[in-house]
Amino acid sequence: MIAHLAESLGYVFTLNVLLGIAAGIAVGYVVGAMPGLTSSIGMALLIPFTFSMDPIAAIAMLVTIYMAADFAGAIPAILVNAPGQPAAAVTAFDGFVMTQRGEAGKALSISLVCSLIGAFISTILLMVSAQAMASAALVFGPAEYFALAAVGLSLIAVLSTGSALKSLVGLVFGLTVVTIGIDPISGASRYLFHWSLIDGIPFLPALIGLFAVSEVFLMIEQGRKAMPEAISTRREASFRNVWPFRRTILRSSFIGYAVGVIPGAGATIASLISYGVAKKLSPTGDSFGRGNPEGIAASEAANNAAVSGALAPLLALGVPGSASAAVLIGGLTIHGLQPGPMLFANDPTVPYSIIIALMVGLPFMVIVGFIGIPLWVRMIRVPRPVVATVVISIAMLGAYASANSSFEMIVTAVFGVIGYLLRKADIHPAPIVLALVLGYMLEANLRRALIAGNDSFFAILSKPIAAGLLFLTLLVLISPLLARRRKA
Amino acid sequence: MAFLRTAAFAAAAAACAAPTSAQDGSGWPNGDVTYILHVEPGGATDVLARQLSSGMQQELGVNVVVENRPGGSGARQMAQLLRARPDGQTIGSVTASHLGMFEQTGQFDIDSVEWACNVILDPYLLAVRDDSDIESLEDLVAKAQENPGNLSIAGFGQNSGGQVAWMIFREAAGLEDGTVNWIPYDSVGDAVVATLGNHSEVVIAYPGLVRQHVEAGTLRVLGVMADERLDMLPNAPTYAEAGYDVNTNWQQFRGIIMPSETPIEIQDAVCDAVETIMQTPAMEQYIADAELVPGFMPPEEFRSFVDAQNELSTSWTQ
Amino acid sequence: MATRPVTSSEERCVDPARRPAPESLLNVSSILYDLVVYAALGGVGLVFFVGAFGLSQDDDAIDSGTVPMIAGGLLVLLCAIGAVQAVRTGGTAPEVEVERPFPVLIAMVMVVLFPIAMDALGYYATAAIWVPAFAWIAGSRSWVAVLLVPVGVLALARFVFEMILGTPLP
Repeated sequence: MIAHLAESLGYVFTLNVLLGIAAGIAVGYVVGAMPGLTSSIGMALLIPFTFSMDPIAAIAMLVTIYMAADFAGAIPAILVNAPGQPAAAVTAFDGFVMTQRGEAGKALSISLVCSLIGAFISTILLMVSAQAMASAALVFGPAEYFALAAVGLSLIAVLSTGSALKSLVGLVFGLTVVTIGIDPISGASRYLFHWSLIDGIPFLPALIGLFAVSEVFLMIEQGRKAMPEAISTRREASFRNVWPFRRTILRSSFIGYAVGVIPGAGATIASLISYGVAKKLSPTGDSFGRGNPEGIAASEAANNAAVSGALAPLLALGVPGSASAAVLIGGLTIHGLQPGPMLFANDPTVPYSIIIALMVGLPFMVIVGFIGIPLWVRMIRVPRPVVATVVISIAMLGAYASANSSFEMIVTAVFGVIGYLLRKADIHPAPIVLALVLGYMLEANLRRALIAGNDSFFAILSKPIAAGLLFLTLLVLISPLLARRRKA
Repeated sequence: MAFLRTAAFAAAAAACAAPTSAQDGSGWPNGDVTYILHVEPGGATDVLARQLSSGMQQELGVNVVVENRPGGSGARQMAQLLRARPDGQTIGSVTASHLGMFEQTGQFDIDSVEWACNVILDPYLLAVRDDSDIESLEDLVAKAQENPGNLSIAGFGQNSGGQVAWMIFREAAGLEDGTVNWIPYDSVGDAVVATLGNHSEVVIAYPGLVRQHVEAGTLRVLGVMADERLDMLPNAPTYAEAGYDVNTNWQQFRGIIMPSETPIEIQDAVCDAVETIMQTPAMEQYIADAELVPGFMPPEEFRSFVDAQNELSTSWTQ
Repeated sequence: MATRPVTSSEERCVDPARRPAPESLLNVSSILYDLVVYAALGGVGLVFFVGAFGLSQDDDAIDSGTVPMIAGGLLVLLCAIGAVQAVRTGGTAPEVEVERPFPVLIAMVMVVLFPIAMDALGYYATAAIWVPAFAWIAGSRSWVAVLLVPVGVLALARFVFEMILGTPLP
């Protein structure tokens, strides 16, 4: 391994590759910070430009887009409550509250430092454990994915701030509408009000509507009233600042990597789980969701760690762990490289070059973030109507770009109105969005597990990991009741 | 940056292409060509189309602009394609899954478009984990009959090409419905992973998705639904060799469609270009690297192939 | 729109130092608003619950109709609980306030109309009119902002979306 690492170092430190990394960071920050543009869209759209690049430079550019987008996803989540990447929805829980208190600079700094630590630790883990972890992840089949989705949903139900009943209503609303479209298991069409919905409600446009567009309507209510004055635009990105959360960051990085390795689980579940665990274990857990910086630390360390995690099954088995990893496969094939079980044996410099490119890119991502923080914080001083107009314009463009179709814009607009009306009733968009992510995973995998087990629920419970995760779900759901009894 | 160079080259080339009459095919292409895909960027079909478009760009000297219109299992792309003028300047991608979508939406049918040419033809195959005690198709049938409902097969979707291929085999082997549980996954790749993880005993997939796992010694191919053994899987027997004589015409295809009423001369011109590109070393190399099976078909042949596929599909899924 | 004025919309001054002009304010009793929202969501749940009966056709333990039936039924149940809770404890909750209700309503209509207009007129023409109009509705009264924002947005669409990302805008 050491020899391959050394050889790969030579490949990475060439002008072409470093330029590729720089381009990747720039594009990654742009697509990451714009709600609606995800890293997978950004990567896929740049694939044609890699035709003429050398393979290592092309791949380095694509993976840096992937990681940089995750760094940047937190910025709009913190500043305007419009997550740039789905996983940053969890970051907004505390980040946006801090911005409203005038602590945007602090929130952004903590997000940046924790993203860095999460990404760094998980990239090291990727280097040493990709093959072992990827094989272990194969243990996850339908029963286990069903149980994992159940854990995620139970965490949403208890983590969200405000009235528990209202977050449950939002959650179940999400679970209900996610059944629209062709049933993936039986092929029957369900609630197809229009044939455009055959694949269900498009997720990204719904996310943009519920978060970004509904926030725009709230901004319009405020008119020209000044935004909360930032206490200081000074960057506070120092390790000293996050030292109190070291345990949370370390734990979240490991959780993020482990969840990221499971194909299809993804950064959103990673953030959610690590946020839930941090809230449970932190001495200040009660103030999670009310602007506790530790919540940002938990979410950001985990979702950046999940990025490297998703690369493990890709490099070791040729199995894409996420949509972005799937695009990376496309990018590799163009250059005659087929990721799969033979990649480490046939072309070992490719996986190691990817890992090194990530490592080389990290400090630059931090520098961009570090320089950027005072600029982004200054955005708060821009008059609110201007911010609202810019956010809505980008949101509509992003919705369009997600499928090159105006139908997506209509979905965004409708969910924006729904999101706004529900927020006025204190029903927050986060549980709805997370239910949209997890609802499909829950239903499809439950039904697959039942078909394989001849309709017996015991077939699911007889699998130790699935049974363990379902037990955890039960614990999560009854823990608030237990806590209440203890207090009473 | 690379893309600036490409754009400049293409623009210069576009200026050279003299626009002439578009009716007889000699005038094609008359300016930029738009290539509308029914898939999201990044997948196998998308990458293949982008390779084709860059080949066409060099071959024809005009811009070939790839547009992704995913969603609706291809319905969104169809709607977009049918709005275009039938002059050959707009072409679209097509795979076997369109046939299922026609039935599910009822919005379109096989006559809604012109079937210009086919590019890739992937045969289906059945594979198991290498440590499985199922050594051959015969074992599979015997084991399924012994304990009905004990085995499960992973594949893509419901009423999909893969499931039809499985039903064709099931009938040839005399297996009852329900002896093996069909588990629909979101993609063939997911189904392969589920089988690698031992969540299903058997998987029905394409050669390109299993070859590396066969080489790594984690999967074993029981039979390939084709007339001859494949170059990339020389040790895998065909169904016929394994003793199951089935109709091997049922294959996963990826081709090019054009708006309805595009003149046949223009379709021919497009297909000639595609055929030339497929024989270039760069494209041959790509097809080999991506582990696809080339299967070029000109317009009439493609249309009758698709007619036969459609007939098979409707007869099996109803 | 679910918001209906219950207590008559009342005008009051907001931040008099900065803004001498009175701003409109819509006050809705939170019990009523909660009830309207629960009724709407419960209605959605009911549609899915009832529709699910038409979807169950095979004899699997869980078929196409099961999950929508459970989710829809649960939504109806939760909304019913919520409605009862709202009526019982309603007095304590503060009112739902919507500041500047008319601009918000107009903005909603504009957002829904944007894709329709875009299909008819193309992106750039639509955005050139829509973006400054939206800035005005959002409360911007500075001509510089109303003129500069659309320029910025159009430049973003052109350079980032069309040129770098290759998104074909109509």
